[in-house]
Amino acid sequence: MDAVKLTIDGKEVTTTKGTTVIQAAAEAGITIPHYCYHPKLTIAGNCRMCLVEIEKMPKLQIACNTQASEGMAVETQSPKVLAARKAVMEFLLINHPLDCPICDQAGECWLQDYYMQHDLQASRFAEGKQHERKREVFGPHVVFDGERCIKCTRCVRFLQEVTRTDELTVVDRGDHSTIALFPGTVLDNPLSANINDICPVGALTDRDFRFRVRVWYLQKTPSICPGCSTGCNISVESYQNRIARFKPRINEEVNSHWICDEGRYCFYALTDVERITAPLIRQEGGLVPTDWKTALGAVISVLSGAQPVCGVLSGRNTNEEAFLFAKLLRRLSPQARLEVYYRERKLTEVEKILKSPDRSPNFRGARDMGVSDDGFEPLLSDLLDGKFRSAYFVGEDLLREVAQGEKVRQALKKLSFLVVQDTHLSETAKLAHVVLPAVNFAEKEGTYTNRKGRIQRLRPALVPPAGARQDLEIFSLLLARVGEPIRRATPGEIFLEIAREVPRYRGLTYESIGNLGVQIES
Amino acid sequence: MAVEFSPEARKRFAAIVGGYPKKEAALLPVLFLAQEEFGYLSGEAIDYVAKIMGISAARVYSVVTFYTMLNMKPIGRHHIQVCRTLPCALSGAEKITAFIKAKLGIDVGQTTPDGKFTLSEVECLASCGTGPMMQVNDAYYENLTEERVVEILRVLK
Repeated sequence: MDAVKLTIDGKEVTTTKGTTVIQAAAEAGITIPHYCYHPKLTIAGNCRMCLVEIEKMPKLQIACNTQASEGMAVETQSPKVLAARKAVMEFLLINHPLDCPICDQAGECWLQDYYMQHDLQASRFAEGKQHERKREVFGPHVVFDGERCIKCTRCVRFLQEVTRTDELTVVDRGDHSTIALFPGTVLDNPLSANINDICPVGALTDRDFRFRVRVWYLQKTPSICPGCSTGCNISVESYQNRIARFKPRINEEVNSHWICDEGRYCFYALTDVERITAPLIRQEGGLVPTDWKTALGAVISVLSGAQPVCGVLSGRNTNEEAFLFAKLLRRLSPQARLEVYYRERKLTEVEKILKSPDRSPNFRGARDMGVSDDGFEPLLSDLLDGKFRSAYFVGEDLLREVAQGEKVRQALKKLSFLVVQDTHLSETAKLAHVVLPAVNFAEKEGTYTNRKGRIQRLRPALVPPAGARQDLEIFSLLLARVGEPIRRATPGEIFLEIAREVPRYRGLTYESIGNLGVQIES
Repeated sequence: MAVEFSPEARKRFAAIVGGYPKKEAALLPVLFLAQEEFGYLSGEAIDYVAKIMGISAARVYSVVTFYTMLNMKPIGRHHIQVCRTLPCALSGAEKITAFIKAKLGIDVGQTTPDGKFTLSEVECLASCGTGPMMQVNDAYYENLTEERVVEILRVLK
């Protein structure tokens, strides 16, 4: 690779041959304003916002489509550049409606930001604005506002180059040109909502999130998508202790800039449930609330007497929880059969760009922690065959998840003791003898290990309801009752124990995992 | 009835595509051929062209809407296309268009009830020295005046 030396705003920058000026500047920490340029899409060069002055070139050049070359002297803040940017902004805003207060993009709109930085003048356009299609529904997740569109074609290029589904295109010409679907079609592919993210303005907005929360009120927590074991990096964006949306977080090792639609909206099913806030215990006539001491005591005394026992952990439980769960059940019964819930389904070609064939984001990590004997399916068939006397299920509604739901119901009814630990009174929990109220993926801290063996951090975005307890805490309280007290049952401390005991995790810490995760060898 | 090329058009299609290094480059001449075959480019016709060209219907749609000589609606026997780009506009194209509108009793984009004339405004037809001008089907009419327009409309059958 040939190195190229150039200066950008007087700063000496070294980059590789073939790099564009906008990329070289980004590498040096200098952001050149842009709309149509996107690092993961081909160059369109249509917005003109990234014009820069280059020594010995008579006219300003677009930084996105000019290659950095040896000795080049680039100015991104010269008077000529600033004047050009101001003119480009004025031009882009000619037909743009002045309705920021009611536009859902407000607060994360590049037109607003660049207007403040580079334009800041009243419109001189005295003529009538061009009117366009408003609120046109493109598909299940995307709605289009033609008047707010600046025709940067990021959405068109995403659909041509990333999903290769080609739904959108530019139609008509001149100031009539706009983005459209071929008549009679809809924009419905497994990654469609990403175009809302890459739209720099309010032209494409998310039908689900639209008008829910003003974006400046959102609290953003870096975390991991609980949808499948790809482990896409996300930002959990919440307001008043509820998740308002997921946004992708850039991680080139995992999901690049994207997340799938299924993952993006999966938090509803996991968080929009009626929470249980006290342990329940079965008495004559049904489940009744009880205190933790009674509930935990019953779990230990009955579970240790009703063997053989099986334990099923949710694929959304963390490594730290899996580690303690395995410790607990092995302690209760060395012959206990343990599995993490894992089932596969078929994926389409477009789904395969990001999705994994499961719904268990941490199945691999749970197995690494010892929650696995011979796989989930054999355990399920043994359960259906009545080979267990008791069971401990965490966070997974087996009756609903498994196709043979009715058979599972019959099998569970025959158990002499069933413990269910979950956020809500699921169909499965209704059959339990003891129900322990726990927390969801967005309320806990811990780590997930994705399908490819990348350990990543899950961070709490929400405060759990009073009365529910962290899964980790429940396991450690139970462990204390069987004579194995955990001194400091915090996720970070448990992880250090994992780093001491589990070979492939040796020497790791939360700090070393950081925001983008650590790859362990396969 | 499914939209499909006649055997004759199929031969011409093969010849057109064979003349370009990349198939997609043949899109414009193929669209002209399709318009000749089907009269206008309906949604079905665009779908058909997309299929035989191996590209998405959205991309073909984009090209069809860009060029004013490609029509997505049925047009009259005589397609009057008045140039509206700058040199013609400066030499009085707007007045000519208004005159034709009044004369035929239709708006731009409409067809006379007898199916004889369709009126369109189009971008530069590369005859800037002789504006205002218009193209009717494949023929140019230049240096237009209201008198000449009356004469041209009378002659067109």
